[in-house]
Amino acid sequence: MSEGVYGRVLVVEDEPTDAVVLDHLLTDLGAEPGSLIHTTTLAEAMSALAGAPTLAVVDLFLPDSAGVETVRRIRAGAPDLPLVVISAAAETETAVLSLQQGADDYLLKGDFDARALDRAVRHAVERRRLWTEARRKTLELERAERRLRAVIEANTDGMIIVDATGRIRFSNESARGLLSPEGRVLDGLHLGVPLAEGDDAVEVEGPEVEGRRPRLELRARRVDWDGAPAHLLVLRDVTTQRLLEERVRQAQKMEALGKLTGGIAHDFNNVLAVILNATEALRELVPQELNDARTELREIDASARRAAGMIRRLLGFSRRGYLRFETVDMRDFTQEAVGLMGRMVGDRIRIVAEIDDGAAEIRADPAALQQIVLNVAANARDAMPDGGTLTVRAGRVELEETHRARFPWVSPGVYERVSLTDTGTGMSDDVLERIFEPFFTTKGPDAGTGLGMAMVYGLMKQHRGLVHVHSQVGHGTTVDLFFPSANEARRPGRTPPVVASPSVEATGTETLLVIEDEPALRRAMERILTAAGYRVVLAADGREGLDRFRALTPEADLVLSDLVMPQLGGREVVAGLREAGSSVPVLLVTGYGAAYMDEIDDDGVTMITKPWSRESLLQAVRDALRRRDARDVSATPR
Amino acid sequence: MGDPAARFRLYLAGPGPRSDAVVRAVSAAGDKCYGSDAWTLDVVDVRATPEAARAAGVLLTPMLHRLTPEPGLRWLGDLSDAETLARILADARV
Repeated sequence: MSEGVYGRVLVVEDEPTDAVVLDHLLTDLGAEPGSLIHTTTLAEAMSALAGAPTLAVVDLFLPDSAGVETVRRIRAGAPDLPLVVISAAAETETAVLSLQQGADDYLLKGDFDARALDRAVRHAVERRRLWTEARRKTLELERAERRLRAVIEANTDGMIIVDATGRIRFSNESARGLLSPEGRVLDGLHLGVPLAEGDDAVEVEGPEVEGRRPRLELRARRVDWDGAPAHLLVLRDVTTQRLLEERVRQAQKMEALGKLTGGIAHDFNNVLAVILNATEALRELVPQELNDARTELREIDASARRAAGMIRRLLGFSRRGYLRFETVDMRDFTQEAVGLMGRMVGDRIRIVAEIDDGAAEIRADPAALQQIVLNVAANARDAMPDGGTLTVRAGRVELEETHRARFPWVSPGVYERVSLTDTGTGMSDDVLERIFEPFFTTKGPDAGTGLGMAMVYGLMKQHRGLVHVHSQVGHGTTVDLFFPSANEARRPGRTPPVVASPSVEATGTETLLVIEDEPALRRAMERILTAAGYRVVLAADGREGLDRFRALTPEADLVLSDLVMPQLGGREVVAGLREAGSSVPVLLVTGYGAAYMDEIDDDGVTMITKPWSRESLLQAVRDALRRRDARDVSATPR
Repeated sequence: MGDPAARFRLYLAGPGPRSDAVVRAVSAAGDKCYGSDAWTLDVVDVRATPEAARAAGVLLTPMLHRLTPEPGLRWLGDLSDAETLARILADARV
């Protein structure tokens, strides 16, 4: 059925005569009589809106509504409906109010004809169409803005618009979090104009949050903002990334230094072994009455031994020192260490110990552990020349993923922590960065060797632990030492027995094969061992050593071999001997220590560290032969 | 001699090589732009005096603030390039 030129027309008129007039006018203009919907109250009109009329012709005064309220209610129910008011109210004010409340045109009863009504209806339809179109566009724009805002607000990068004077005009949530964690309004604040634009980032620091200033990457782009030139600043928090990069860089530096110092220490040990043994040999040759000469020899001997001590500390740093791991109770250890510290730091420094009941066991070398803690305590003492407090805390901590914010390089797990906090002078960032470097010291040439913290670093690594130093100039220093708990610590590799301090003269008549690439050391060993009664066969490297061994009849009683040699090393010599079916005991001579021994799992292998003395060498040889004899006896059936 | 023509304040986060480089660059740029007797520069370490930074509404460092002549201007970013700085300070005089 056709709906006529106006479609479905809602006529809201309580005066029957007026309603009839309207009916006639509308049908004369082309409206379909069947499409006219008559209502006499506002309530009926509101119900009729459900029928989706295309035009409303409305009287203002109804039995249940009066004046512009009628317009307001119908408009609220049908925002897109063209609405013409036909009223007896002649006041301009009423007409204006009606238009403001949503009427599209206003006609005065008795003052219009069909033509005027047609014009008013067409005007209302067009006006409403334009209004509806504008509203649709506005809603679309609002939706688009909400989408864009959601993207910008959800961006983890901080985004800020600053105008040409550097004042903030817009900031997203991440920017507010970075620049104003306390929730201050950023808009209007004078941030500044970026010096450069483009893809290259510059690094800046943000405001302090919980004692930390975030490191931020800043990128700037020129943009138009409200028709004026402005800058979009993008801020990214790179604090954790920088910490990790710094840590990796530091680790690489320390690794390189470790290799360097380890290598130097190895060669130096060879030289020292020659000096010590030549000195010892000379002492026997120089007559007692040559006092001056004997004094000089003692000086040489003492100096060489001091140098050997330094080498031991260097080996500690380079993680090649020899450690004996055992289970250590951290409560007992810390209590003992606090006692030792008390004697070391003096009366002007008060020591406070806080040891958790939870503190438990670790796998550690007790002597090395003591060295670590006492070195840190010595630094604390030196940082408090006018006295102060040294607080020692021990307890179990579980480093979880969340701790990576502070220690991003740490594997999560259970650790026993020992913390030493002093109230001393503290350190600058520059000093902190170099604190573990060998020979770096702030104490002056006479006060420190610069090896203490280097050794702490190396020993902590050997314990598979980690050390973290936090310091601020004028506010003291805290050194946190984290050791993996005993049940989490991987057991170190088998450590070959090491000869104890020499006690008695150890001589013999057995045949010894000496494999040593350093000629001076080879000669010294030959001289000492021959003088002690042994039959000595020499070889300059591992390959020659194996050849000599095969040529010997009967078999040598003991093979002494340097561990690190250019040709076959000590490890390969042991393997060659075993492949040849020999169970001859081997005494490995090493300038490194246990780290190189992890892969040697052989009961017939013992070890002596360089620089050895005549006594310690003879003792080691004797002990190795004794072990062989004991093994042979236990293997003999009774 | 009257007051200097221009007063600047430089906000930095702590001492160190980066801060030293920034101070050197800003000093050189200021001397080049104004002449060494015609401007002054204060340096504020926001770590040492955070309250000064808060009072001045300093959010990012390093930041250079021209206090006088008016209007006050602020610059952010890599302040260690003296030439770029001198050019920007000169442009801001116009």
